[in-house]
Amino acid sequence: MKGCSLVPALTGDPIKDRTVPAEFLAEGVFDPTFLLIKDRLKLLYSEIDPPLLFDLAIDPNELTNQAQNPVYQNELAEMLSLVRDSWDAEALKHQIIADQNRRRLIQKAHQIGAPPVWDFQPYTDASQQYVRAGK
Amino acid sequence: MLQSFLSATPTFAHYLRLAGYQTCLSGKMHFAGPDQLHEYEERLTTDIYPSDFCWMPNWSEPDAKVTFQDIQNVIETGPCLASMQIDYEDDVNTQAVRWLYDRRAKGERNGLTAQYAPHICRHRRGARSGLENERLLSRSGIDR
Repeated sequence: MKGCSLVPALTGDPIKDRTVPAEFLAEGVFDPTFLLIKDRLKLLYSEIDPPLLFDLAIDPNELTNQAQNPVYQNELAEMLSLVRDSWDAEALKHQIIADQNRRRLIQKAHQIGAPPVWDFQPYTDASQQYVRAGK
Repeated sequence: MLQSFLSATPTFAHYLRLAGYQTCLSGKMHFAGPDQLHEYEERLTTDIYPSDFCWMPNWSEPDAKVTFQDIQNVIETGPCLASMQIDYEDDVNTQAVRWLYDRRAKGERNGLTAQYAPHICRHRRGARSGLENERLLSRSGIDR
């Protein structure tokens, strides 16, 4: 999915297409989770949960799921097909699980022998701090 | 194609450097792996959270929950007098402000990113009652 330029916003001009895609693949979800904001509608979609559709114009706090509301069925279908065209959730899930498995293997190996030193160690040069000779 | 965040992946820090900016990071960034800079020239603090893969979820076994990946995060959100996160924020803030003044004094152009752990915060000064203080102290686990 292609993004759109936000440059017009810098000069106060309207942005033509406000379709905002996002994906969440980190902690707290157990399947790829996608977000699509199109004009006034916001869709949250994952293969393992029913869709959540909010009409931000009348429900900015996102309290009422409109996914079952007949009024929104055309727009919902259009957004769902846009999501399915934009992401291959099944393939993505397989890749993520493979990646998680690799990282868990690495993490397990790190428990044996010397662990890697990855934590960033901030360095302070005391010879350059505060009041020193010749400064 | 899904891939790890490689050191060979250009970041906005690369573009800032190419444009003549100094790049500096104060705070957390969740880089997991040996590259803890990804082209920030300097990093003023260590990360608050692990740099290794110990928080890796396991989607093959959704019941195998990883610590910090549940609703507990939300339940514990709220005002608190002292916590690890507040200690960290204080450090991030002090280092960032000091760095900015220092560079400003030298007349340099810079791009600083200050990243906080904002889930827990202090009440604004003066906004607390004695009762609230009691509650916050007990929540902080501070032995008075």
